[in-house]
Amino acid sequence: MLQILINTLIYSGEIGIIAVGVALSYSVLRFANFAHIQFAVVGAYLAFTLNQFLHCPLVLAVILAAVLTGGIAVTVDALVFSRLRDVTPEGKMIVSWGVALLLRSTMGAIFGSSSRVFGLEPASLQIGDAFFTSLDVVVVVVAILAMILLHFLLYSTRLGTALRALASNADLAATRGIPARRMVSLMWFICGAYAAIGGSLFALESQLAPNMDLIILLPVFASVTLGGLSNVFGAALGALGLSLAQNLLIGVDFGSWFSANSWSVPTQFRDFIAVGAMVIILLLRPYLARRRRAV
Amino acid sequence: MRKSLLAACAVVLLSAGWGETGQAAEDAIPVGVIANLTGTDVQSSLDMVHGAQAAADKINASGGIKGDKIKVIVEDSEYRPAAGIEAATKLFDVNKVSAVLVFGGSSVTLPIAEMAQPAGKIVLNTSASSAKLGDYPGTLYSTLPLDDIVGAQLGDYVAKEGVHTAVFIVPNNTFGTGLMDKAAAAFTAHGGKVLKEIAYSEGQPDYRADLQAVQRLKPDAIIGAGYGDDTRTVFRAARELGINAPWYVAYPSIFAVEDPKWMEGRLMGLDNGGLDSPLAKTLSLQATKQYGAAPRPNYYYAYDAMTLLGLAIEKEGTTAADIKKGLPEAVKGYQGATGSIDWDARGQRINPPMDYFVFRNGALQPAPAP
Amino acid sequence: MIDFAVFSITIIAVWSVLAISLHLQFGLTGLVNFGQVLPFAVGAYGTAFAAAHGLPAWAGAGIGVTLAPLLGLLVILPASRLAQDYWALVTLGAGEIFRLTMLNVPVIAGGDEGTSVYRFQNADLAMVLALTLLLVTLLFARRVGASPLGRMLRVLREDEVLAATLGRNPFRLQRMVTAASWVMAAAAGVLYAHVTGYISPSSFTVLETFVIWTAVVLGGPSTITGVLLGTVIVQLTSVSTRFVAQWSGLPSDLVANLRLGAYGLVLILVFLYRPQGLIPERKLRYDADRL
Repeated sequence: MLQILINTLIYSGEIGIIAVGVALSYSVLRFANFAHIQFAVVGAYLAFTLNQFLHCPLVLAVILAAVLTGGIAVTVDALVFSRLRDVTPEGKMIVSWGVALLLRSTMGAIFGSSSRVFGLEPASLQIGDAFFTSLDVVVVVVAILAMILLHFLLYSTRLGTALRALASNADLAATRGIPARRMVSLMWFICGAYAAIGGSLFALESQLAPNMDLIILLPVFASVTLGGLSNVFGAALGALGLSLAQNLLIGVDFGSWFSANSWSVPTQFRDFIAVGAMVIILLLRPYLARRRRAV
Repeated sequence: MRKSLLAACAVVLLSAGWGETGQAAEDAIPVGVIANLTGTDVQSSLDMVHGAQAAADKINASGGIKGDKIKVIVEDSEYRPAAGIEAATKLFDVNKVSAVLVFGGSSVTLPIAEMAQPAGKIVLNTSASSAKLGDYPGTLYSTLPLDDIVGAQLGDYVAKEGVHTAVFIVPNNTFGTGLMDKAAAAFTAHGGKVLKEIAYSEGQPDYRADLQAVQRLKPDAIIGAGYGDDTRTVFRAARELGINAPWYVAYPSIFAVEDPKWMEGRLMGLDNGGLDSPLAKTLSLQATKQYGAAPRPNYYYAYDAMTLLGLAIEKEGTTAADIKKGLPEAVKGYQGATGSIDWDARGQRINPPMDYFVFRNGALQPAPAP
Repeated sequence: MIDFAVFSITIIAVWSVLAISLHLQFGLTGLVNFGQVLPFAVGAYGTAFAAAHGLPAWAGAGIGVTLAPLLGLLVILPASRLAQDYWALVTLGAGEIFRLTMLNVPVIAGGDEGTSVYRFQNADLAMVLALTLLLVTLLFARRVGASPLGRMLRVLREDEVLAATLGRNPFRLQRMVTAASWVMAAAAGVLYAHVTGYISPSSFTVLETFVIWTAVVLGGPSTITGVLLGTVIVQLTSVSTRFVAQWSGLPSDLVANLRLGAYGLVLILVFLYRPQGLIPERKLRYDADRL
């Protein structure tokens, strides 16, 4: 059981850092940004390049990659999304898919389609009968620190107040003299940087490939939906909930409850759980919203 | 007006380009290679292309086949059936090839065989291993043994090693589950007990959740199949969970070992034999020099396929009917990079030389047969 | 050369039917279906299911073409309660759920390995059938577009409330459009199955949906000529990559990546500079007296 909780923490850390960015941009700009997933992949490739080819120390490589990806995100906004203010949310979603395709194929063209690995050898650790590695600890610690930092940025700085004002009423915020343009750019920077960190952690744990976006996409969007789409910390909790559901369903031996035979949900249903949760929550959304209003 | 002029120019240029590809095929023997240059498992796919090219280069360097050079035309299958069929249609129709070498899973190779059969073309399979591939006699020939043979041998091997209970861990694809089914049948036929079958989704960052059941079930051994970087992640999960059962796998050479010290003596398996032949060693050195890394087994399967095709063309001629007649003769007495090749009436490999390996001192070492 | 051209035309016709289906849903009605691959997959899998279980081909076609509109009605149900972008995510999820089910439940149609189905031995016949299907859907879509129903759908696209005040039940209209256009896409799926002769889950990913979207958005979602033009351009780009790779001598994976990148760029540029697509919708004027 302890093992299941530890697994949950690790996976939700990786997914959560990426998911908060999707929720943040959703809350301010009101559209689901598919390109965000690709920021994670681009960030991971940048970290890989800095670390393996330019021999930066790993930590520095990830930080630099985060800053660079933040810059890329700001550029993408300046070139594309800032000029699409009057387009419907669905339209922006389609464009964001176009941006994702472009970034993905650029990565594929530069680095080739084969996968790459960082080749770390983390130390093994053990608590009770639960096992994990030093890298897992780093993932969880980084995820927690990232959440604390984000909370600080959003709730204790003027940037955060401005962003939240923009999120709740963009027109009002603009008339009250909030420099919306600059704030939105800053938001894109944060999104890009967080995605890059999440993507790097993901790649450090497994491997790096241009098509890893499709593996990240479903759990991230499921987490964001679970958290209520525009709720930044809801997305983090959503990641936690989704990860727990996946690990419980796959890891718990349901067969032993009823008989001597062991049976748990076959592991290939992992993605199924993510998509299923996403669809169910979306379908229940109108009812949940109504109840909240009634209360 | 200017726009339509431009469009007309583009059409003329395009058709000129097409005409050119048609003509280039005249003075050489065109051979098609279909591989997934994008999509999944690209590295093994590229190794396969290199192997085919190496064999063609060797034939061309020694003067070609009766003076004609072999021209290799590579097409992308994107690891999708539709794109594979499109590639095959183009090769058969535009480049007028009589035979194609195919890399890709069964979901790509089977549809290509399905369309090559009525078209009277030849398919040489260098990577797919579904037992269904045996249903195309006279069309599809394999230079690697299919799952039914390797799976059965794996099951036998594990049972003979004195293993009574086992858990299967394979990737959730045709290769993984196909081998698992055949190996499990052979293993249980010897009285072995399969405690659980785990088919993991590829590309995940972590497989601890998938492997947790193994920790609980405490099997004598783990029977596995897999390839590439995912296997590294799977091994890491097993090591972290403290699962110390030995691994018996098919094709250990395509596994990525994660921690050599932990793996010491723990990874065993059977692989296609013949790779310690002088020919295979020369090829390996040559490929390492050319591409910077030792090639995966698909390199040798493709090398053998292209060489056999060359022999068949030399014996009978360049049409598909000639090749169909020539291939069974070419294979007789052929000592390839993957050993001697015996085909059954369907053109599928039987009695393949199998080598047994155990992982020791950081590399796979030959082990005695059971 | 001819066989390859025939094959390419067949495939382009199949994708054109999918594009017209999306034209009815998105271009006319404004439904953002990110799961357009779902009815296509259902059609193909009806055929695959029949083949895997020894049923005749017509039964497979029947299963696909009946199941698709039923699923469509199920998927459209929440659209009345959800904002369009939420509903788009629901459709995306629905498509993936279907694909994952086919992947992980091999009893239905062979799992990851897939299933062989009957393949048209005569490529010309396949092309004629595909073009016939295209013609039928085209005429149907034109008919719908020009009818009072089509006008109502455009009203619905622009303003749901207005449509309701005109005494029409917008959701009934949406249901009708969805059922009709999903039948089209399923028929395309059935045909596609018999053209390729093989069905496996890897042919029905999210990527396929966005290839259709690229074509529709590029050509102009609100006009039939537009979506057809878009599909021809996108599919010809895809086919010509093979020749470009060979002719330019660039590595094929680089060319394939450049092609995907081009799709992405097209989506962005069209939205930035030509949001109505290459062939925009003409403003329709009606003479009130004659209505």
